[in-house]
Amino acid sequence: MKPPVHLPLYSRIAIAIAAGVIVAALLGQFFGAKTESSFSGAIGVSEGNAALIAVLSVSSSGEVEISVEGARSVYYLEIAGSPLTAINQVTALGVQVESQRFFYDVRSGLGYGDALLKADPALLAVLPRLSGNVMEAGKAGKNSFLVREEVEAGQGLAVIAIPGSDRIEYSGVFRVEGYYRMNLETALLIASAITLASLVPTLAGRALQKLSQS
Amino acid sequence: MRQIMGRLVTLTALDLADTLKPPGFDIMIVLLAALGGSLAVIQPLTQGYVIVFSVLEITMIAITIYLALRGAAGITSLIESGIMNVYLSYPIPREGIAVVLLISRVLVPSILLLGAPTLVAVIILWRNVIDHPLEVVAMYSSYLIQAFFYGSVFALISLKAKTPGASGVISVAFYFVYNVAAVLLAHIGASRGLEELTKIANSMILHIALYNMYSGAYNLDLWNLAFVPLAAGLTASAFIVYFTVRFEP
Repeated sequence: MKPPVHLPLYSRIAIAIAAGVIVAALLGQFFGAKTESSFSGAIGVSEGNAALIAVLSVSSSGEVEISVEGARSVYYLEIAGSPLTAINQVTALGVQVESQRFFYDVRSGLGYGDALLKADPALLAVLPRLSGNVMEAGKAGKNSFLVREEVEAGQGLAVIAIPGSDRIEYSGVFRVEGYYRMNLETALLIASAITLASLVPTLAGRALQKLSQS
Repeated sequence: MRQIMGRLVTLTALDLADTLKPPGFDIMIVLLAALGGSLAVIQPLTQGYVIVFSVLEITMIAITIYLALRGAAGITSLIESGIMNVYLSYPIPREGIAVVLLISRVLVPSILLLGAPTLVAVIILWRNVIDHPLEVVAMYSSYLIQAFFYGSVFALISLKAKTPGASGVISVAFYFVYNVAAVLLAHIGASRGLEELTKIANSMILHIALYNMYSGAYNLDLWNLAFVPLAAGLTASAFIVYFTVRFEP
């Protein structure tokens, strides 16, 4: 029995890469990344409460826009790491976290969450000013505010809303910027070219060898 | 000298034929290229270091197991089957054979198995990568150095293990313990507010340290990035010295 004749190593690697390109492009076509994600929520508040809204772009750079309704004033700061970490860090300042939620949109790489904070009203009033990087959100109407910031991968925003009513509502959108993914047609073309380029020299060499033997 | 170099190249090619033999290597590289590439498209990745991290972070587990089985267990098989004696009878210095084993059992498989999924991601996301080529190269190199470190430790283990099975299992156990130790140190560091402990934990995994440096999560010192390359150099040197001075097949 003849031993099996294997393709040369470079052909085997090239075919693997071509297969990888096709599989990745197929998956990208049907279940691939989204370049926009929207989110919203509402938090019931009372005296001595503040709302914390945190968003984090895990994997891409883009623009985050959050509008907050029902607040007296809104402050925000850039954060790195998980929004949950940002939520938990405020407990160290003597602020009680009454409830918290966290969501993750895998296809846009956006994590977001909100928390209801409870503390002495005086502490809540100074809480946003404890960090030097805190900015005040621009007013968009009576009790409504708009935060718009560029974020890099692994960065996000923590927004603290001091209530101006018994309910704080927020809605936001994250737009990924500068993202490009090869389409399926181009990927198929490139994968075919890689496979052919790796097979032609080997197959031609073997054909020539057979011809010279016969 | 030229003759010895020629023999070293021949022996490297011969040993590589075993390390990269089909179908094991072929199955592995197709799976890694396809699944690693898939990890690059399920989220919008716009930065070079994030692209490589997303692709190689999980892929690294499979590569380490391959290094343990084809690398460490492979060397033990060479010893057990008597092929190592044939290698040693070749007229080249012992340290040369040790270097050949490190190249063919650790370095080349790591380069290829880490390279295939990275290349797929680079092809699919080329326009995002083109702005950050250095980040891609740096992150890929960090995974390669980390894999080389694991592989050198596995190679050392292989010289003392009695059977290929034991060699593979002890190697995987080392990898598991090392990574759990890094996680525990990071956890204790974070929960107790001991930043130095977190830094030590991050230093143990070079690609995590580099990722944190790029993302700005931690301010790292030079030693944080030098820890794994130094450890890799030390274990590779220890393998060469032990193989040359003490090893008896």
